[in-house]
Amino acid sequence: MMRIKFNLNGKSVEPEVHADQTLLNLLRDSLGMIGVKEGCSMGECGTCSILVNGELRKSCIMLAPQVDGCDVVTIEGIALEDGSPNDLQQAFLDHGSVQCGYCTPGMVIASEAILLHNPSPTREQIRQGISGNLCRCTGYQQIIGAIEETAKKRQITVEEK
Amino acid sequence: MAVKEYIHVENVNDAIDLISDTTKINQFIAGGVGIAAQRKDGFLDCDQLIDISRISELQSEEKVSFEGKSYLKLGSVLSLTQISQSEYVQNDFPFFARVLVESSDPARRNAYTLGGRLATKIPVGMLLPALCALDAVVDVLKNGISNKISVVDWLSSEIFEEPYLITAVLIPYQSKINYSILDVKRRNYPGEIVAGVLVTTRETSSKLIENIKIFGSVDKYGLVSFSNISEFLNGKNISSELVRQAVELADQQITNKWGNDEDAQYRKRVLTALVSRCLNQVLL
Repeated sequence: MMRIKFNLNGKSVEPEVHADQTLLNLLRDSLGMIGVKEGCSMGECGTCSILVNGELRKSCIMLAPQVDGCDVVTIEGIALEDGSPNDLQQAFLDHGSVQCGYCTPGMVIASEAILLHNPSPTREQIRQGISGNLCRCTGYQQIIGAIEETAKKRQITVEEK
Repeated sequence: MAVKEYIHVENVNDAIDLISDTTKINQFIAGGVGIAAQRKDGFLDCDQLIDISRISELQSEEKVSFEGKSYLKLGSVLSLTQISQSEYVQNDFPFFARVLVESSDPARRNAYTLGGRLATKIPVGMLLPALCALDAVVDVLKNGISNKISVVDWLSSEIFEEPYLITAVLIPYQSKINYSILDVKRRNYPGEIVAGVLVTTRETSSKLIENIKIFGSVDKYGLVSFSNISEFLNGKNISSELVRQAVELADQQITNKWGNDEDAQYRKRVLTALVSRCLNQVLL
């Protein structure tokens, strides 16, 4: 066992980990971040997506010690302080982008990653941005619509400021 | 065997010292994708993992000269995303930037490193054909000596028994490249291809075909070289009849090495069709 230290959703944590423990396992089983879902466990479905230093990553294909000293954001760190959904999560609800909901945490994180790096993405850029996240229910159109609308609203907010 | 230790190293010398420790079984880790796959499949068998992703000298991205030639040097722990966003790559090797962007989904592009893909030799999209067509060279540090090995030779070589570290990939600056790249992607799996073909030629003033390179990639089987078709075409006048003969040659050359099932037959047909289309696009 070894101790690592990193920021998880803005708070410093220092868990003890095994050298070959996956980050997904650490987040879910030790740190209680059960919004991070386990799907394929081989980096294909994207339901375990998180942000590491602002970059989209899949926690099932990372080892826990890799994030020593990093900033990690999970779906639990996206919501507003009072626990209510942020604008992107609300847009997912408004657009009917959630059906079974299993892909949703990863999809929201991937969407935040798109908007973090490109505040005005085209529909094609959105498609590419979520290409590593599989959804078997919605057919993606509602998800793309939710991201597009959030991007527009955030742009208006920035312009008003 | 459970991994006992995970060590972050800050410089190449420490990495080499640790990997050379014969009392332990050691492995490098950078992006972690290959290690995670080994772990999942139960093949991860080492005492300690040596994380080289934070070594600054393996993150460099610069123009260098070597034996009178100019190269773009890309550090081995740069991710495919970082390389695709490099100004050098976007301006000087635009087709390589395109190959990188199409190589996988965003999260995996952030995790895959150039060195990791070359060390494991596991194909990702059309990355390996692109590096071969660009005459890229792998810089491998072994026994304290830097060895420059062409990517083509590297991919066909046996894995070294002695400890080694891929430190960089060097891409030579040459005359402008004309290219055609076509692939058939697997549905729902970004970057994963059934088969793909890349044809490049260097721009020249003559009407003769010069320096044509043809490389393919077949899903998990990886690189396919069509060197005999390149030899057949080089130095000849461009004509539609010549291209037809080259495609015929390709069809004969592609012996089915990719299994015996219907999928294997499909791979062969796809590869032949893509060679034909790429040659037509580049030459005619």
